[in-house]
Amino acid sequence: MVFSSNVFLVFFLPIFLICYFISPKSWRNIILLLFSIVFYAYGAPDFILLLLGSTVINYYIVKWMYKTDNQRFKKLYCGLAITVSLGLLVYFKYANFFVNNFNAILSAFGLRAFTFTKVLLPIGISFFSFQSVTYVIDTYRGNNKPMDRLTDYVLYIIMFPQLIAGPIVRYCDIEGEIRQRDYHWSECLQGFYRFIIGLSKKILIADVIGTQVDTILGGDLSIMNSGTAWITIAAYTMQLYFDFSGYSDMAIGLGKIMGFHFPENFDNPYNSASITEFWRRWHITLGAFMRNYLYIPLGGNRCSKSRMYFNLWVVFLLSGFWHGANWNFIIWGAYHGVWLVLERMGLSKFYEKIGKIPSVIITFIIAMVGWAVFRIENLNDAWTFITRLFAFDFHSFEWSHGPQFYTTLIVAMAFAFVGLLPFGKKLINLVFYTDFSIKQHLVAWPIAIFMLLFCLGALNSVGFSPFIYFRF
Amino acid sequence: MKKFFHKTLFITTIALMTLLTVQTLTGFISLKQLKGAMTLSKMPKLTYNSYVDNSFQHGFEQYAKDHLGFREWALRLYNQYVWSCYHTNSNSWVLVGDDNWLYESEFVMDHYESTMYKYTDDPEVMKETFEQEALRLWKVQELLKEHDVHIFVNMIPGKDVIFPEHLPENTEYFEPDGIHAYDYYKKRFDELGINYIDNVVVFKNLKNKVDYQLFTKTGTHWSNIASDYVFDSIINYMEVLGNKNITNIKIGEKYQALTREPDDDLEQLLNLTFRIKSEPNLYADVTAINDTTAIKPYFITIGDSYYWNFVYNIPLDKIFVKHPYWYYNSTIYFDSEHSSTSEIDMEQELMHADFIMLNYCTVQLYKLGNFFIAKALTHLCYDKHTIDSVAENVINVIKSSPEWYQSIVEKAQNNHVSVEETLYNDAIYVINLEPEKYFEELKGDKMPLSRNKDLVKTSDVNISSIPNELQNMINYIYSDGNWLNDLKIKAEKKRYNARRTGKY
Repeated sequence: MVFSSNVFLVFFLPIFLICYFISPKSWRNIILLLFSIVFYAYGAPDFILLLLGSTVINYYIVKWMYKTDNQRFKKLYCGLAITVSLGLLVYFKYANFFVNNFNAILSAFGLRAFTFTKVLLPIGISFFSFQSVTYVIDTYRGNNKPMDRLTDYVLYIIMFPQLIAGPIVRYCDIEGEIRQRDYHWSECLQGFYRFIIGLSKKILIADVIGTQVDTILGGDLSIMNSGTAWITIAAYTMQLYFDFSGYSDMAIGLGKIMGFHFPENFDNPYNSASITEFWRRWHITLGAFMRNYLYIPLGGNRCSKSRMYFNLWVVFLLSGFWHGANWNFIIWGAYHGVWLVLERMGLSKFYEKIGKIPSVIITFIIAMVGWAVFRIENLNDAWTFITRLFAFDFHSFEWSHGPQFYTTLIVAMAFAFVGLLPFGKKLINLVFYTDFSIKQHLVAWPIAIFMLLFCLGALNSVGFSPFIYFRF
Repeated sequence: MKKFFHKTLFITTIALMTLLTVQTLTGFISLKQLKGAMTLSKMPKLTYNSYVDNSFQHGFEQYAKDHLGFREWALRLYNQYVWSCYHTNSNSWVLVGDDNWLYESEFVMDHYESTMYKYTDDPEVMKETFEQEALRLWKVQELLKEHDVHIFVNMIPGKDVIFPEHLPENTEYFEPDGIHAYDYYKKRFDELGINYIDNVVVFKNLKNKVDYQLFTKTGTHWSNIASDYVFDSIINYMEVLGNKNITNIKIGEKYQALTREPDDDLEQLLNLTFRIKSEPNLYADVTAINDTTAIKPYFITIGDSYYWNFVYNIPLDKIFVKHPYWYYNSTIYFDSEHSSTSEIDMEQELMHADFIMLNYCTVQLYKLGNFFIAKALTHLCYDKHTIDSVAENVINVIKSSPEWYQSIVEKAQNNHVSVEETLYNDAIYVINLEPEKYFEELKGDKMPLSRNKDLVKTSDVNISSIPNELQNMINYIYSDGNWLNDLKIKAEKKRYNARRTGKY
């Protein structure tokens, strides 16, 4: 189930909210857990037992790890728990990739390919695996105690708002709120507004742009003119941002309604003046995970420069691999890693010299080219597309994708860059981080209800083509 | 106070979302329905298998989409937004031309290339199909004439034919060399002497010369008033064709009014919140001219939706004893006894009719008659016994093909009828589809010699054997329109031919 579906908006969410708020506070975790299980089981019936099973196993391993005083056993338990979490991820997400590449090598040497039944990917595995790793490692490090109740731990892993697409919530960030949380009606309302903002970003911007992007990229890339290529990649850049950040907004908003404060996942990433800054603003919780659980353990900054550059590059290579089991994601990660290393080697000084706006433009272009590799899985096609970007062939360019596409793209761009202006900063602060007064609620609430209806209209207008059959 | 306000507002939010759920499930608040034909999905059955293979989930999402509470408001709101801001719409059937002229997508396709490509990529195949259909129609026309039944084609221009200047720009059609059914048929109908009314030429001549709109900006069919004038011509045409006096119509004074149904049928499909601003059109009230000497013919129409305008405006009941409408030769309207052409007795219907009109617009001419012509040809030439004996052979062919037979068995199970009945029905269907394959003499351009002897026709009655007094009486009845009409109604009730009734 996804948030931008009729079943979620019309059935799941209202029923959940009623059950949640009419229950005594002490029951609410159980209600949330049950609905989260239904949420996952509805969309992925084959994997719900796997998810629950691995979560229960990890819970007990971590409990044993915490209890033992023997450091060797502690390490062993820690390793075992991480193996359970990441093992599932490796198997389900990467088995096909490794076998395919292994078979390609065998074929290159004229050997018979290894037969293998393709593995289906359980939805959300990348997120809940990482969440469970944070629990294991933070407990191992002594940052927190393990959960007393199994149900609370399962709830942490499977909580439906962030189960499918994050944000990746560290155990230590949410532990207290799982045990006990305060409810403020004002926050519930603001959570609802945040949810509607996310829904609007997804349905009114990302989906509208995405339809055209898919159409254009489904055509012959080799004959594409540079104007279309740049507009397409700019559109995809916006689609991805509004889709992903919209989903995060919805998750954060739902969390707020329930009394949870999930970490922010995006902070106007396209306003970044360097790739280093971009990664502090884009998918923030993944960046934090990589820094805390990979970069720092590898040595982080406290090592030689060359080692540091290597660490940095490897972290981004693996980050790319986390996004998908394909070579284009690995190359995309490595590409970003290279820019980060270059910035550490002196490029950032150049950015400082040329000033904020030119740096933002350069960073945006670098990010866009990266997204081309990210979006086009076939490497030859991706290369063809990039060559079209830099062919500077604008002769046959036509504004041929309809006014709705271009207008939506312009609106998306405006929202993406508004944070660069003082007015934009104020607006963002007001919308996302201000406790509304009664007057502000009186304005925001009708807008939110209107937008909900509007989004439902947009969601359901796709494919709604009644035909003529008129009588009387 | 602040807390109470927040609490109230949030509870109201949940209450509204719950209202959405309840409205989705029950639809208890009655709203102005969305326009256009759509098939709404049913609630899927939840079983272990449907859950595991995700078919329940897909079905449930579709159900929620189709029955969404306040869908009417949500869709109209969003449609208005895309219309007002981008001058576009989400209904793929409706394309927007310049100055708010709306066109149905099929007509745009027919204009830029040809609807032919929906059927075949090969113009030669299309030509053969048209040729065969024209020859069949000629044979049917001549055979029906033997029974004093008259068939004719009413060819109607599409909006694209008369107003191509407002069409949306061509962005997706690249094969302009397709065959157009109208061009082919017009030529062959002239050569073969097939009865037809060519409204394409009429409308082209009338364009910019009449004070009313032939097509409105926001409709796909001919305008109400244009169809009134067409119907007047149809009556005149039938009078000449059948040498009969038929009740005529009077088109009243024209008056100006805002575009009304069905002149705005395409606009209705956009399901907007506010109406599109369009110029008013002229309308007129139509009445039947009282004429006691006029007869009321039995008038069957087979065709597309252009007929509906007649239904809106013309007092058909006052002109015809019966006027069943076989919509695409499938659903039957204005017939109290039948709702589908699969229910009718073809022989009986053909003999009841005085006039049969094939009413097709240029886009739909590709499927002229929708298989009626071939079926009529078979029934005019062969009796049930002969057709059944051919069906036996077809049944044997089906039985010898394991795949075909299996499909029949499955169809029988799905429809809860016996395999034998399904076999027979399919065999008849196959024969009616292409009778030339089973009856050698139907091939080519020669008139078949076989006749269905079961058909009751005037020439079957040995006139000399009827006493003079009776003959005089029959002639007298014929000269009295009212009496003849009463007899026709009586005959219709008893399912007799009117002439036979008169004989009694």
